[in-house]
Amino acid sequence: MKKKILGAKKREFLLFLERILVVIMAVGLSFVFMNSFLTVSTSYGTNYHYTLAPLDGDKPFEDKEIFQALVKGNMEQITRYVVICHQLETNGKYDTHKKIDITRYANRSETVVGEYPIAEFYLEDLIKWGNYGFTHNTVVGSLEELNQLFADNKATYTEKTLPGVTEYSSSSQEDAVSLGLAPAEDDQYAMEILVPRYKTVDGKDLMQCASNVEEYEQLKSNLILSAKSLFTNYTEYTRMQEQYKAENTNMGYCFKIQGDKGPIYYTNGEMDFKGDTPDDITASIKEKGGKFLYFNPDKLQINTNMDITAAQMRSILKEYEYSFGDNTRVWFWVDTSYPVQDELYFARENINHSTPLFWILSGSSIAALGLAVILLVYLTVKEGRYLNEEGEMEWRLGKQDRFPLELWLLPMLAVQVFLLGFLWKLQGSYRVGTISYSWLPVMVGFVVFFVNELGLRFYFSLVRRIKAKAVWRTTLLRKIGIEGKAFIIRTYDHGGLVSRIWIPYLIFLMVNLILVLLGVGGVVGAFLLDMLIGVYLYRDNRAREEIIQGIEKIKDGKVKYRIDTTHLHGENLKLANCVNTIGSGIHKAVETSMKDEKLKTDLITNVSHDIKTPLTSIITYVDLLKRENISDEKILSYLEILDNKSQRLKQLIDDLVEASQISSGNINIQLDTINFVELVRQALGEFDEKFAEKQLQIVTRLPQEATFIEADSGQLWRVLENLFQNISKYAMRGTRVYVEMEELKTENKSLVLFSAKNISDRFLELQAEELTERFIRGDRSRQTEGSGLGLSIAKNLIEAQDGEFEVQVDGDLFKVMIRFPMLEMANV
Amino acid sequence: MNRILVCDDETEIVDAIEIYLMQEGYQVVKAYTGEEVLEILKGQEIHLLIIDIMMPGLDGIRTTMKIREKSSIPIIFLSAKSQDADKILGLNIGADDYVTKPFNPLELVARVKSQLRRYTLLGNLTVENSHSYQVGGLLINDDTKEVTVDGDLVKLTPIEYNILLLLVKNQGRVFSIQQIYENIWEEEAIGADNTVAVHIRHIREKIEINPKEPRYLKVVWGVGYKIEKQQ
Repeated sequence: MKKKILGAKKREFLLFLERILVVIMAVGLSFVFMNSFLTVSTSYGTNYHYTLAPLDGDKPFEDKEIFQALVKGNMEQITRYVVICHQLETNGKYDTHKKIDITRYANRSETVVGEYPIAEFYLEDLIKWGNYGFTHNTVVGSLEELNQLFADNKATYTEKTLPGVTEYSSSSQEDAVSLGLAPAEDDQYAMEILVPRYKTVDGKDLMQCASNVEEYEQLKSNLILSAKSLFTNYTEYTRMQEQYKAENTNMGYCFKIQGDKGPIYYTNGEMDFKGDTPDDITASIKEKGGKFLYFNPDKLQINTNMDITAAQMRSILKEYEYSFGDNTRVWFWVDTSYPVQDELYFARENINHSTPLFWILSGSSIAALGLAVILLVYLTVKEGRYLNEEGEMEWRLGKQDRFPLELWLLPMLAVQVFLLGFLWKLQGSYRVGTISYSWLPVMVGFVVFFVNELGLRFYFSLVRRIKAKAVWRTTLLRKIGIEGKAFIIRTYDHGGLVSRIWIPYLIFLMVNLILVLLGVGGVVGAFLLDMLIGVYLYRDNRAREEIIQGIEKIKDGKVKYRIDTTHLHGENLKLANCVNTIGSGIHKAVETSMKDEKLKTDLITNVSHDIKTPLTSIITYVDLLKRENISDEKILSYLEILDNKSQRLKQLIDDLVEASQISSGNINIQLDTINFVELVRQALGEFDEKFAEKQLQIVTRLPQEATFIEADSGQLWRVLENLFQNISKYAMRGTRVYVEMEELKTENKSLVLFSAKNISDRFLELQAEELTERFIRGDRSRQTEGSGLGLSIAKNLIEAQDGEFEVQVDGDLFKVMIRFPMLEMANV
Repeated sequence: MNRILVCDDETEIVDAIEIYLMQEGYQVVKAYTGEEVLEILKGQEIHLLIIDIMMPGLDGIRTTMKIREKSSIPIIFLSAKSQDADKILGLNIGADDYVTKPFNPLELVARVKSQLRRYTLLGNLTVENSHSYQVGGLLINDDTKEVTVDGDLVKLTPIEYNILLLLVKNQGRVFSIQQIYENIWEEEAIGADNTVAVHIRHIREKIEINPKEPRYLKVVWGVGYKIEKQQ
């Protein structure tokens, strides 16, 4: 059992270990992550972002994507460079006096067909013009006037007379628009005339080259295009000339282009290819031992040890096809010893340095993560377990577990948002340059430590709550619910009748009204609300019914019954508690009284036995005395008194025992069908002589027929014996005694009424009710004979047989009545 | 000479009973505990035992149960317990009679006599002819119209005799007042009064030791009268 419990110190240690592992993992992974991106900036401005794929680790640099991307990028640049060289150079040298036909140059990607005005400029002039920019003069005139300007091809720009304003026919307007002139007012057109900064090779200005507006406009745009383009190319040329010198790049190239006077070679290699066949050139490049490529654009033929296809090469060259023409051959190669520190060298260096770190760091990070997870699982299993005093395992909540769950969720959510933002930010920060030892992984480590700390607390708190089955119990929602409910109940329980009935009812009406006004949804809501209230009212009423049932049960003698008050509220609770209190009070009283009664009966019975023993001796010895031959009258009269009183004592004791036993319910009643008339006659027969002694005249009015009742015949006889005993003792000598029996018919049953009336020979001091109470005689009627219990015993006996016993006293008239339900003959 | 063993923890009561029984000519052996009773019964021939129920040590009930294991002598209980339940218990465990304290000495003596006669005469007391009827110690000779109880002659009036004869002839059957009247007077019992009941009472007073607790002529209250059938 002890093994299942984790000691506090051990738990703290394991948690500490877990934190360390998580931080190791976080620092390691973030370091790896940060060093997994490589940005290579190239000389031509493009930046390559490269993810260091861990599985590429064993590949040579030349097989990696980055190498190919860089090589392809450089090949494009070199191709462009070669094209520019072809434009600007003559015999491998930059030729300032190279003649450029501006119309052909501007349309160099197409073939120009047909006649066109020739305008040739020196390359240097065009580049300068492109660098300097173009200035214009605007002339306005009719189409005819403008065309007139170009009529005389001899006149220079300065000699030309600029036209005045003349009328234009409306019909010629459309032609003017088609020439690219901007229409001015009323058939007047504005025309831009280029200020001729440089002249053509043969000393003409541009206006002299054109014979009309159309031609001039064409030449002008060609000139501007060519000059600008050449200036740009010249700028690039100067840059790339430096860059692609053999001492500045690891890449080599050779373009063989068919010129007018035989093939021209453009290359940065030291060797002279002139006269060699392409195969020879390829072979000599192969000899260098690096990466190489040979491409024949005419046949789309490629020979390379790099991962480049003919189609890729074609797409690289395609843009400049106009420059190459037929019989162009292309070679590229890379010196894989990388003697020059260019971008290829730089990329290779970084990749080769990053790769081993990746495996060590990521491996150890994942190991740390795995260990942390194992620890977490272990701690999760043990979490919350405690031994209680009996040595049994139980789950407990800590102090922080009382903290509402929702409030825990808030910081957790904030942390999540923060983490996501952090990762987002991290994603954009690529490493540029060598391995980054920046502060970032350390910061990640700190952040992860705190997040982990917070997360662990939350997690273990949640685990404890789940284990202790207290998730719902500790939520804020539940607390609010309970408080709200308690508030309502409190208000309800302590409110007055008005606030309890009318306020809820008015609220109910108002809510219904508002809901109904809200439309269909509101009506449905109102219906549901009403259903709820109906259920509530039903439950309330059912609770009340339960209380009523409880009251009835208690009333019927089940005094141990208690109403279940667990689901009751308000008035019902109050009512049920009152009923329960009353019930338990009755139960206690009944129990006490039964116990007391039994004690009393037992006491009386036992005492009577004890009294009887000496009494037996007294009676016996009095009798023995009487048997002696005593002639002294005095002694005889004394003896008589002793005899009487001892007999009386005996009677008293018997009555006492009987009365106490009857009143405590300790008698055995066996009900039989008997003939009451017969019983009365039998009883009268028993007392015949006693009545005669007192000269009592018995007047009987008894039914002729048998009258059946259900009674215990022996007990009923004892009642009659008792009554007749009383009559024989207390009836006035020589009076009449009436013994009667009649049938009383009531609505649904018939009763047998027995009555005995006599005139008392003494003043009846007591009320009728008092006569039938036990032990009533007390001081007030000590002079009379008997125990005084007779009537009490009789009454109890009759009632035990479901009969009624009543005594009436009217002056000296003493009347006893006994009623029994009469049995119909059919039932006998 | 019948020897009677009297046992009660109250010596005065035993002494008093001795006096009464000696007057009747019985020999009395006295004991004060249940153990003594068992001891005496082992050594002497005893014809009847009077024993108190409530005694310290071995009480009357247990003593009787022990005696009944091997002897069938008449036993009369003498007890202050007067409840019906006590009496029924006493008779059921083997006592022949039950007398409550305080007792009437004459009644006790009569019961002793009765028990002794039944015990000693039981074998001889046979019905002599078809006109004789016997119920326990009660014997009716219809030829001589004589009635004896435990051998003592009882004087009855002709009506009383006829009623008793009717009941004895129909032992166990209950006769209502009306039936008795019609049987004896042989006329319709219109307005039958208490006559029969009075006669019955007189008979009981003559043949019973204690008319309130009759052995032969029993009152079935609310139904009639009967002579209990004897085993």
